[in-house]
Amino acid sequence: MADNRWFFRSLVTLGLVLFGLPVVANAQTTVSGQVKTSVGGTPLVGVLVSAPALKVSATTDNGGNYSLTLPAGTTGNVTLKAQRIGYQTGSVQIAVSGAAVQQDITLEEGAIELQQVVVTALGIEREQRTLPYAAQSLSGDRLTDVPTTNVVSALQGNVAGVQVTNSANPFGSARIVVRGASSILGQNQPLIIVDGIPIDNSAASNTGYGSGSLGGYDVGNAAADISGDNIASVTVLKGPNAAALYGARAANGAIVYTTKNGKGAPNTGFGVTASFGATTETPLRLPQYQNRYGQGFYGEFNFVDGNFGGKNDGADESWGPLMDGRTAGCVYHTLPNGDPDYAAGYDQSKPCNQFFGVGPWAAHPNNVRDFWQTGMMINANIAVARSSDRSHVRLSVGRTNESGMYPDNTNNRTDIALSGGTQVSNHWSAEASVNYINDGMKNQPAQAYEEIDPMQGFIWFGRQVDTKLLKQNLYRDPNDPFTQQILIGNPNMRTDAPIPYSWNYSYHPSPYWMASVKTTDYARNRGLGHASVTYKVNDWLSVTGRMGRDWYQNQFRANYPVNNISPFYQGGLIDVGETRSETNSDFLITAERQLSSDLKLTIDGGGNQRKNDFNTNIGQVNELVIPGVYTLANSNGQPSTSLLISHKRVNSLYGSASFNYKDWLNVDVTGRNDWSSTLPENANSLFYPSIGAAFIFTDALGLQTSWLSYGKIRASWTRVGNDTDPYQLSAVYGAGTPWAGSPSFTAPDRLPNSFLKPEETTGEEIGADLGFLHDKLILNATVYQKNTTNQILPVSISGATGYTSAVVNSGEVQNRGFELAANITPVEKPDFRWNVIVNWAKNSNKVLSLYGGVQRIVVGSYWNVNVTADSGQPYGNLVGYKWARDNAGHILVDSTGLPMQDATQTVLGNYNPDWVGGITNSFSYKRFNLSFSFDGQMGGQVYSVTKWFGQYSGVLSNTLAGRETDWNSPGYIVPNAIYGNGPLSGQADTSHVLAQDYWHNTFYAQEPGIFDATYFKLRELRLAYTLPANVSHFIGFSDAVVAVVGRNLLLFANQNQIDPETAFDTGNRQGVENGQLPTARSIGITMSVRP
Amino acid sequence: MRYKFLSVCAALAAVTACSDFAGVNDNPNGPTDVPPPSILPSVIQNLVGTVNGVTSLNIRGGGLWSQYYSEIQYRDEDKFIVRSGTSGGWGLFNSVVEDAQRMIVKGEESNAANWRAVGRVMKSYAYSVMTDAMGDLPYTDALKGDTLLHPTYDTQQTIYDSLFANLTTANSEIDLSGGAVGFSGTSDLVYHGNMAFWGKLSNSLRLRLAIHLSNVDPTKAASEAAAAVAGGLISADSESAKLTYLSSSPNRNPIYNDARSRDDYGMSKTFVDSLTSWADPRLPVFAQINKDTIVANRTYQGLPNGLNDGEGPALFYISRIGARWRETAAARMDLLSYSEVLFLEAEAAERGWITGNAAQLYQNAITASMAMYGVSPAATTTYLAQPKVAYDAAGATQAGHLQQIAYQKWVSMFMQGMEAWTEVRRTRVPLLTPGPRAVFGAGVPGVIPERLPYDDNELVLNANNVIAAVAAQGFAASNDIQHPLWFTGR
Repeated sequence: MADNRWFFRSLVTLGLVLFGLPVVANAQTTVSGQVKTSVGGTPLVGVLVSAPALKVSATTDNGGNYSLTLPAGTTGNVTLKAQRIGYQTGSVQIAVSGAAVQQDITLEEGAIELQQVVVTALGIEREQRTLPYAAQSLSGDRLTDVPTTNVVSALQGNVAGVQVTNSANPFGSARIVVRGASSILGQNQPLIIVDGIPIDNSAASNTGYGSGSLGGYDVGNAAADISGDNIASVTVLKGPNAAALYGARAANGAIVYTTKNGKGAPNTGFGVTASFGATTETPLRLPQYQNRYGQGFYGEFNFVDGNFGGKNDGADESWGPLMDGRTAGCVYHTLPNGDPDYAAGYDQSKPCNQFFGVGPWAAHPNNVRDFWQTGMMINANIAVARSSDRSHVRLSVGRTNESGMYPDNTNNRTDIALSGGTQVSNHWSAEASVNYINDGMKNQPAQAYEEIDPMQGFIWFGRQVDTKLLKQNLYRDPNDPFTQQILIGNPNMRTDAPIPYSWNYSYHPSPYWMASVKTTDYARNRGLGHASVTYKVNDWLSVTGRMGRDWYQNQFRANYPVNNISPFYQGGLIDVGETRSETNSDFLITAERQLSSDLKLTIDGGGNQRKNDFNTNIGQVNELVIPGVYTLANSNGQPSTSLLISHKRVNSLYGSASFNYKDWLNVDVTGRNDWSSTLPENANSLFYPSIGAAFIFTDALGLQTSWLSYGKIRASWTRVGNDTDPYQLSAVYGAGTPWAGSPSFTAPDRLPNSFLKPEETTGEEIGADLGFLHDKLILNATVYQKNTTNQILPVSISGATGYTSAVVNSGEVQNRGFELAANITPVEKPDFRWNVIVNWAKNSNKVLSLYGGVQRIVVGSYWNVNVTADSGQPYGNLVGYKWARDNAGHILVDSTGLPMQDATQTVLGNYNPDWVGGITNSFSYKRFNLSFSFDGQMGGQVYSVTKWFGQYSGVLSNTLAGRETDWNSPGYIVPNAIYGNGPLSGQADTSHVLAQDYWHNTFYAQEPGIFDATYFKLRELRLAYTLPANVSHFIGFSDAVVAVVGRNLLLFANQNQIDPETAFDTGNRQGVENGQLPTARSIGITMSVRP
Repeated sequence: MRYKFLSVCAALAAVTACSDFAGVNDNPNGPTDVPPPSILPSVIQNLVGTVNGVTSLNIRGGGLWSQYYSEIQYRDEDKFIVRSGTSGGWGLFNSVVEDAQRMIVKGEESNAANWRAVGRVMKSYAYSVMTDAMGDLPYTDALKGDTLLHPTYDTQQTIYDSLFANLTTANSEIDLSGGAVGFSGTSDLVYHGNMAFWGKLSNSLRLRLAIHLSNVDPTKAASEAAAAVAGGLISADSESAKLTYLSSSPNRNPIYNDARSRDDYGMSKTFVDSLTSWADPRLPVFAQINKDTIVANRTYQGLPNGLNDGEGPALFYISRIGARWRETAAARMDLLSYSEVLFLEAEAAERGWITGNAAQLYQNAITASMAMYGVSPAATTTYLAQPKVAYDAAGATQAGHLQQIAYQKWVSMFMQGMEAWTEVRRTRVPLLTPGPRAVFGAGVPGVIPERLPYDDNELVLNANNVIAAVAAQGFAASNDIQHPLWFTGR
């Protein structure tokens, strides 16, 4: 595997770094001391302490200590600066006279910083004050204070303008969008960068119908692999302006992670940093079910074979008899023609047969809740680091184990990271890192319109079902007469395999059968690494060469047992193997020159070559010959197999120039040219420029006052791109169904486009960063607009053309918005500090035009609702049928009293919220720290199929409307309705319709499935206690913290059926929900120590 | 080594090298071109599977409305409520018609007459099903995606003319010497490379289409029928156009596949009662006995069409579709059978369009149908001997004879629901009555849906043209299913 050479190269480089460790001693003036927090006095690791005038710097070790060596002969006053992400920059003046100086520094907290250093595009470090665009940074601690398995989720509510949609499953995926979706059918998630290297963040697709690349299972977005424990800081480059240097990938912004390294670690022994967390998980919310009527139709139920052999015993709906504990009389007397004789009442001579025999017809209100176990998540991380003044190394090992809420579900992640760097000589330095990650997920629940999703099974359910009985009885005795009866009624069932115990044999295996016998196994093995060498030509010019690679393999297997009912009633398997990689080779030349005493120029120029490779193999067996043997060879008939390969190359050259005048005016110009293999050969070159300026008016105009301590305005303009996929320029024949093993081919359905261009986004933003009252109140505000044109659209075209879609460049989407971030410190005393961080953003989105006069493009569909881009309207409309209404808004019902479907589909809602925001309060009192965060969204809609079908099937609490007295009494009168046809047309509706008929009729409109998606969550809560120094010293550490933590503790929403924060996958078809798995509410403890 | 890092494109100082990606964007996942023998298996499977499959056309469309079957769960279409997304086979455009068109074009490019001829027959068959279901369709402007994204609609009459012309050409260009440019036994799943049979199918399809026009253009119908017969028809069941499915996945018949995981369709009471009253020996082939809990009471029973969910007898009293299809993976499914050809000939002879003994053809057609379903000659003789089966029973009028032919054809066309529905709409035999919960025509004999909707997407993707076609045909909307089509003559 020639392509793995990078790994060995990285290892060799790393070895050189580790064993080279040259130590050069000098006897000059040293300045040393400790950097601590202003509240609590906690030592701070990783603080960059520098004497800018003397061009020397050092980083604090794990005890917060630094040591700075000043050039020989330095005397007089020297200004020291101390900078760390998450803290305001500190500055002190010391007097140097040749003797060693001892100087401690305290830093104030502040997540939104005016003065801090941030890592920007291409890994270039910049002072925040010089940036002409919005970029927000978080320290790594913010990501791990309350443990989460997904570093993307941790940005929720912490950065203005970022919207994260988490999946319910802790190991599942999170969709992140910055400043709104701008691409109609393309990528809308930002680029993810780790230590300057772009990494893959793809996620398995889930169509919600049990298909998609992994058949309904969510194995997480790939960026979740990065361990929060290894993150030193993260910067969100919010818009195209900030990310412009990434050219064709910059349209959606970028998230730039910087990992921890050994800088500042002790230079004797190995400094150990460790953390441990243990949390329990319980469902945050389950739908509100009704507990009055059991399985059946029209008030009748009698079990014979669970497949309509008895009275309605194949029904998976709850329109049956009242659950009043009766043991007989669940069916009516019959008329001579076989119809029920309602007048004669229930036939008390007939016992109420159920799936287990005769028993009381009674509710089991907790039958869904009981299915979910208390989950447990344990995570531990240990890191050792060592450094000298010229070299550093860090090794970290992390492990997370989760036993999920779903029976037999276990997930784990192992993470090993090694990084090091060395200053080989005055000119040469090198650094490298390798990170190996292994994810394992066993027996995950799925989210799909399939029985593999337990919550989908509970939508189509009999409310009388006692799930404990299902748990206690996984298999039926094949010889008992009851089983024989079931086999007669279910001739598809195989007797050469175990026969499952269930409450319904027409559609539903028992959920416990699914959990314990249907097994899934997923593994992801990933290697991430980079190596770089820098040659410092002189004190203003340096050259860096770098190579990085992200490589991973997914292996997914789902085994379906024989007699599984659905899917694969005869047993089957799906096996997916996927390999993905991205390799980047680049160089960067950096020049920094003081052109005059007032004007400084920084120039960066470089080039990059990027290779993306993808390969997937899928094998599927739809029917097993021998039960229990899950191999491709054990397929009855030919197994279906497929292979998909994709390659892409992009070459780039780029450069930026930054002019800094008197440290209060900064002007940035950038340009990038990309050449992409996915575009036509003669038109594959694209240029992306940007320009921006930052003006610190308080400094320039001397406006600093006691209430306005800092003020900056900034503005920028850019034009960037959005990538396209390989192979869009020409089409190939698709595989038809092979016949008796011989292949067949079918003409492509997508009309290719040999003139394709990438999408183009033009962004403008202006903003202000203001500090008031000695920076006790810091405000960052940005107004932006971005227009995306030349959208790459596989638009649907009339099938009569011979194709169903065509790839075109057309359409324009505009996003405009306002972001506000505030950091307020109402109280700051030596023992007590109260800090409030608010992030708020409003994005307005509009589809300005589509292709060739087309009014609507369907982004995706789910159960009769289309998620669309409609010309002239916000992106993300939910389109379906409403009830027909007259002009006064009355619902029109037919002559029987049932609402009638509107003539055409209309917009039912839109999935985008009006605004998103988060607020974090933290209180420090002596050794205690309490913090809690709320976040959420106002507005937006979600189409809930749980609601829509849960009403249809009569399981939800609101379907008691119309059957308050008995299943057929009093009936339901549609509120505010008039007759729309028949002789009573125009008159008020007075028809009582049976509840079952009314709710079944809701199949014809999706309006009854729409929810308001407004929600707020108490996302995080943490109460931490820092142990007294003597205690932590006694156990061998400088610093030890214990905390009680919680995540997803409370949900406030406008409805009580689902968690509105919901998604099948990270694609653009959002705002649809079905069989949502319960969100985990986590509560537990964490402990951490530092050397 | 260290300079290797610098050796990316810029360091090579050749900016043009940055744009050189030879071959990287060549798609390795499929062929850019394939010959017709590799396309034909897909065309045949898609055509048979779509026309006679489970959704929207046979079981949930024409066959349901011909009252062969009933929906036992989710009884929407049974009440004439068509679920959104349903059309009269619009998907055939890209799954069959486009592929067949490519066979024709490749046949022209390679001067391979048989590729062209088979392409034309398949294209004509698919088009005929679509136009009989939906009415006017894009034809002249269709299949030109490279240049024409908004095709106009041609009238059904124009399409019929084109199909007659197409089939005439197909029959005339067949090269019986075949050779290297024909089809092998494995690519031609219908006739295994026998080009003479393709010619017979071409003429038989032409005869079928001619008969469809009996109400609206008898003159054209007569001349096309005569020409078709002169060209040579399918003359034995071994020549029937059919796909015999295989016992193993993924080549099992669609009815069998569907019944493994779902149980949505039973027999219609109309059909079961009719066959019972005629003592038809094919009933045990078409239907299975029910699962009455009292074994001795088990019998053939259909569910009345057009009831609400849960109404009517419990489902174990309802017979399911015959084991020949529902329980047999390797069933045969017909595109055009010998027995149908005989019925078509009988009607043409009865109308005097061709020479021939209508009575004999009628009797032969029934016999061929019985034989096809494995009914014994003795049982066939008994059936034929029934007075109401005998050709003259209904009186010696032409109308009476045509009625007999139509009824017998309806019985024999089970599992070919689309063609059966076309014939029911043309002949109104049998005069079917919608069920009590039907959204129109409840209880009124003869009022069944007259068409299936156009593709919903046409209103978005080709709005002007579909709206013009809807207006030209007098439909209330593109999903109007009550308005009779041109070919019915009503």
